[in-house]
Amino acid sequence: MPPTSPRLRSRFVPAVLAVAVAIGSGAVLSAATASADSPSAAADAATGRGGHSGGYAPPQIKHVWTIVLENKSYEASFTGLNQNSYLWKTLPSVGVLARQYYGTGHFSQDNYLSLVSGQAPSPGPQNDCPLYNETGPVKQVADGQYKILNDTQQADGTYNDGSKQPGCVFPKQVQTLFNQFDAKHVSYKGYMQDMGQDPAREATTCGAPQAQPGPAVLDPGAAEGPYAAPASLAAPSTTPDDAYVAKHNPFVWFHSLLDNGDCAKKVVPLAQNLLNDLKSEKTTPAFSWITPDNCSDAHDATCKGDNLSGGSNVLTGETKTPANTQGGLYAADLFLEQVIPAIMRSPAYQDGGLIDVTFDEGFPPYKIYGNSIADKNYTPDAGLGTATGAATAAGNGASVESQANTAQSVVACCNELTGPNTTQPGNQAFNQDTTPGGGITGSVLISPYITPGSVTDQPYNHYSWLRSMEDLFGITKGGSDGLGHLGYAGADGLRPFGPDVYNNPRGTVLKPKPSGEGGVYAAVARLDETDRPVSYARLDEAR
Amino acid sequence: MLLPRRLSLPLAVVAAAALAGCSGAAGAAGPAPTATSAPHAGAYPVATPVPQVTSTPTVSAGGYQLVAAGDPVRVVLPGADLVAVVAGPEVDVPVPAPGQPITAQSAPGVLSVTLTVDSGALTVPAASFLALDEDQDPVALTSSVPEVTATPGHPATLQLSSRFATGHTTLTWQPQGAPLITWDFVVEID
Repeated sequence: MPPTSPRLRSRFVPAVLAVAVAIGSGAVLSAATASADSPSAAADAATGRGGHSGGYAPPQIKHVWTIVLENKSYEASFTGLNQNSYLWKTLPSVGVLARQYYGTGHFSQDNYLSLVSGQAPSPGPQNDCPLYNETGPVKQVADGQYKILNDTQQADGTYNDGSKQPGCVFPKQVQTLFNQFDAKHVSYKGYMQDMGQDPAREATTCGAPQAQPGPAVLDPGAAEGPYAAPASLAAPSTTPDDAYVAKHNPFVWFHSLLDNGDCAKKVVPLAQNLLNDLKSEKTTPAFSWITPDNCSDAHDATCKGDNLSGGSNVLTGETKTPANTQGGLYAADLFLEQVIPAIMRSPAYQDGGLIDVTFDEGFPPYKIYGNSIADKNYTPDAGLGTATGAATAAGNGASVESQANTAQSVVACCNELTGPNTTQPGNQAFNQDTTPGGGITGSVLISPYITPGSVTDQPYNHYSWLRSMEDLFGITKGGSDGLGHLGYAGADGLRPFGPDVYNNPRGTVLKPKPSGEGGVYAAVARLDETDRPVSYARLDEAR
Repeated sequence: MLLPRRLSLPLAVVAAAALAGCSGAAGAAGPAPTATSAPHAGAYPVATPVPQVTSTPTVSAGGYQLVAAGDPVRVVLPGADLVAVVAGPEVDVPVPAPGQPITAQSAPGVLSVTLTVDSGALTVPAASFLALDEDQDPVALTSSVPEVTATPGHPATLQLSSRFATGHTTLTWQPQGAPLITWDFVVEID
C-alpha cells in the first residue's frame, strides 16, 4: 500500500453530531415499523428459528465468522482516507456495507462484553481492565442487566475485593451467547491471533492472563490504549512475538465460560487451527469468533512485531521478516487479505456462510494511518457540538483528545440505554456527553445471501449483532425478553439484521460489484440528502 | 432522507426462504450439506485481494518521496546508489507511579536511519535530517556522531535522539539542502 499523502487530510468531512443522534433515536421506531411489514409466521416450527424478532426470519445461515477490529470510525475505515482498499473497496464489493453500525461504549473492552452478553458497559471494562479481577457479587435488575454490587471505591482506595481497580470478571449467573450455544448444541470456537506465543503473558488456550482472576492479577497489554488507566500498573505490554491482548478476547471475562471446562478447548490460537477447521463443513464450527492481535486489528499505529507485510502466513503460522512496521488499517488489510479468502473458499462458507467484519468502537482520528492517537491539528467546530478553542488545547493541559472533532466517536444508535453500572457508556470520551456512545464504525457483512456491493443505512449496534446471532441460531428461550435475547439484545424494538442485510434471499450467485456508486460516503446522512447511493430497485434488478 | 426506505422483497420469496427449514447451525460441528444447502454452494466468488506491486520506491536528486517509517527507499545520488530506511522511534515510555494514569505528553526516543550502499560511497551528516511535529514545529535532534559514511558491504546507521511528543511526526532527509525523502510516523506514549 502506498503511503497516505498529507493532502488526504483535507478530505475529512466531519459528521453532524446532532443529525447522527437524531438518526439513532429514530432507529428503533424505524425498526418496529419495518419489522411489522416483514414476512410473518416465518418461524421454523422444527428448529424454532426466526419469527421472534418482529416476524422476520433470517435466511439459512449455517456458519458465521465474526472478526472484530479496533478503534476506527466509519470515515477512517470505509471512505478511502486510509487507502485500506481491501476493507473499504474489495469486501463491500462482495457484501453489504452497513454504514450505520455503532459501538456501544468506550473504551474497547466493554464493547466486546456487550457483544457477547448484552451487558451494558461498566467501569472496569471501560478502563480496559488493567487488572484481571472479579466484579464481585451482582444482582439482576431490569432488562437482563446485572448491577455490580459493592464495587464502589472504598476510603482506602480499594474496591470490593481489595483490588485497586473496579471489577471485570463477571460471576457465573451472567450468561453469554456462548452459553446459549452450549445449551442449543451449537458448535463454536474463538480464534485468537498470537495467543500463547508468550506463555508468560497468557495461557496457550482460552487466553486468560491467569487461571483465576484475583485482586492484583495483571492483565497484560491492557494498558496500551491511550485511555487505559492506569498504565502505571506496569502490566507487561505486548511483545514483538505476542501481540495478543486478553481485553479483546471476550471469553475470559465470564465465569459462566471460564468455569465450564470448555474454554481451553474452544478458544484456540488462530494459526493452524482456523485453517484446519475450514477444511470441511463437519470440522467448521457453526460460529467462529476471530480476534486479530493488536497489530492486525488496526489498534497499534506502529506494530511492535510482524504486520504480515513481509509475507508471513497468519493461517499457517509461517513467519517472515516484515517489510515495514505500519499498523492501523494498513495492517488490518494485510490480515483480512489472508483470512477472508480462506474463509470464503471453505465449504462451510460456500454453503450458507456469513462473515461479519466489524469494529469495537468509533475512534478518532480519521486520517493518515488511522492510529489511536487524536490529531492535534483539529479544527474546532462549535456546530458539531465539540469543544472549541485551539489555544485551550495547547495551553491548559487538557488532553488533546478532549478537544478534537469527535462527532463520530461519541454517537450511538438504537435508543441505547446506559445500564445499571455507569451513567455514561461512552466513558465521557473526548470530553463529550456520552450518555449513550460507542461511535459509528460501519460494518461489512458477506454471504451468499447478501447482494454484492449493496449498502444499508439501517442503524445497528452491538446489541443488534447479538440479537441477530441469537436469531440466526434459533435461540428462542430465556434471555431478558423470554425470547432468547440476552441483556439489551432483548430491548423492545431493537432490530436484528433484516432483509436490508440479507438482500439476496434466494442465494443467487452474483458477481462482485463496486459498493454503492463506488464513491465516498458521509458517515451519516445529511439533512438535504434525499437519494440513496444504491436504490433498492437496482438491487432488485441485480437479482 | 434520514431513514432508509425498506427493501421491498416479494413476500413469498422471503417467506419461502424462511419456511424452507433448517437444522442449520444447531449441529455440533455444523450440518452436513443437505437439500437445505445454499443453492449454489461452491460457486460464490471469493474476495481475492488485488495483487499489489511492492517495489521499493526510488528517488533521485531533485525528486521527492513521502513514505511511512519503516518503508525503504532506493536513492540514486551522484556518487552513490543506496537504500535508505528509517526505523522507530523507539520511545522510552514513561511509567507513572502506581495507581496514576499516564500524563506525559512526550518521551525520549531514538530514530535509526540505515543507509545501505550498493555502489559508490556516501557521507551523511546528522544535520541533514529535519524532524517536524504535527504542529510543524521543529523537533530538536541530536546524534552521538556528526556524520556517518556508508560504503558497499558496510551499511551505516545514524541514530537520532530527541524528545518526541505524542502524535503525527515526520523526519525529512535533505542531503543536498532540499527535501529528498520524508518518513511519516506516529508517536504513541501508552
